[in-house]
Amino acid sequence: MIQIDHVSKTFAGTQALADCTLTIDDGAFFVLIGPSGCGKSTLLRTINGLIAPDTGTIRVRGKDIATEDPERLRQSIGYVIQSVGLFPHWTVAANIAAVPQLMRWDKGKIARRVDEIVALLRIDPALLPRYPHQLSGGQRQRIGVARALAAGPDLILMDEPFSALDPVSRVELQAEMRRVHAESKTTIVMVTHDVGEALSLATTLAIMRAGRIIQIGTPAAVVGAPADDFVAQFLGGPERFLHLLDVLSVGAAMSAEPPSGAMPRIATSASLRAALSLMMAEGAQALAVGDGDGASVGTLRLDAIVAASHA
Amino acid sequence: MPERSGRRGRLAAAGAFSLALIALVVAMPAFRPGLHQLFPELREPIYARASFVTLTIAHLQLVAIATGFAAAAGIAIGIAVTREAGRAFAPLARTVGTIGQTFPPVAVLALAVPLLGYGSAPTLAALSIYAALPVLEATLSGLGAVPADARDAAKGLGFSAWTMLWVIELPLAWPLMLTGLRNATIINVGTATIGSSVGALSLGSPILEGLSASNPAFVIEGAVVVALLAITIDRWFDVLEDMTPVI
Repeated sequence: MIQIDHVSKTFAGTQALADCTLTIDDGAFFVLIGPSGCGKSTLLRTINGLIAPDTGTIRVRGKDIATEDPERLRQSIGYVIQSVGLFPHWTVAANIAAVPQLMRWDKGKIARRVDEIVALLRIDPALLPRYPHQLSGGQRQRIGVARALAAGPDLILMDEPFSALDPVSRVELQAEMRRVHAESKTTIVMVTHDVGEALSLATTLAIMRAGRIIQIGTPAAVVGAPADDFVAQFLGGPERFLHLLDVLSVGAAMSAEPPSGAMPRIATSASLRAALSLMMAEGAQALAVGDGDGASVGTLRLDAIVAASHA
Repeated sequence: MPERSGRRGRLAAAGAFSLALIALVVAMPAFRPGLHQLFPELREPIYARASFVTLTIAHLQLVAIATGFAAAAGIAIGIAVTREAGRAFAPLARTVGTIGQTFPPVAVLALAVPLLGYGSAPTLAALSIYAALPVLEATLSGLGAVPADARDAAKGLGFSAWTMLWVIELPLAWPLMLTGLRNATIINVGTATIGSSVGALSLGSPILEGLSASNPAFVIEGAVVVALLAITIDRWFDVLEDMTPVI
């Protein structure tokens, strides 16, 4: 989907990006993470041409974006920012319809698409005639995401989209993005400085520092084998493995061994964190794993949780 | 429904002032007996070189044309210096705008006469330049108040610079711009009177004539009509501002 090739950028003598090269696959949930000022937002904004690199090339869908019409390119890429940036004089419905409107879809098609998006993101239809200042922060960002998805882009860029939200809204919207990504196979590139958020959402993770990409890999690979001390410390030092408990599901660690009747039950889709917590609550070393219909499909043992983070 | 009754009240006030203005202008000759009693020493208490209807229409024309020019120039410059290409000129525009307003309009008029001769041309020039400044300032403030995040989002979603200006920036800046236009127009209503000192026909004509011929009745007549005209126009702007949605 995206090839970033030897991209560098200097702002007023400060090197924001230093020879960044990476490839983002179709359908990836790619998370750029690093301390503030590391260049992750700058890198994100080169992808839709908001920032032009000094050197290097960026290809989106195989085409060098320097040769593309920047407005067309941006209309084909969803864009979500931390401060949301809803248009204050437009209703929620008009905000969601912004890009289809720019692309001159006909009215009926826009109305149908708005209805689809409202259903997809579980937006209360009563909000549609309201104005942004009448919404809560969480509602606003949900509309911001809806606006980015409205024209059905196959690529969405998100710049710290949930950093300013209260914890409840943040977790809700993270779950929403995970679901949207799983259902639509849209490629998502997200910038965050929140390690937990990065590890729980990413299929691939890139860690940046001082304008350079330090390491790229799956969350488990990066946590398991950090490239250097900086990465290990940034991910949480010796406690970084605990993040994996959120990322890995019971299904990934269980064995097919039939459970004994006395074991507490847990679903295959539950996180290992939930499983470990249940073990602690019940004083159990093993759990019976059940599928959605209540049938037992296997057993999860404490040592399997420990082993899973090295899989 | 407090909003609607507020709107109705504003409309009523604007309408009432308009009717009062028309009545005063049309019926000015009817005040002759009263003014005669007030100023018994004056031979002619009603300005008669032109009717007040003519004077008022001429005055309104000066104001309308000058404010039109001022609005066009002020808004155009305001937009130009807030675009990426013109941003370097924004401080200059602001400085010229601020210094310009400390210039007395009479001075601008005096400078315009040698260039444009006597009559309405130098008056229009002076009024246009003078009134462009509040419009420019209001345009700069209005465009400056457009939230940066809305602009960032619009650009990132693929709005062209023109589309962003038309559908995002100008609508958001409009309430402040309207206030600038209101100020410009009201300033022009008052300042247009000095146009008569260089030969333009306006409601300043009876005032100046009254001052030079020691005829206080003429001064009062001109001043009262100008004041009523200013209030009436101000009330109509009030109606207009009320109709502009404020978010």
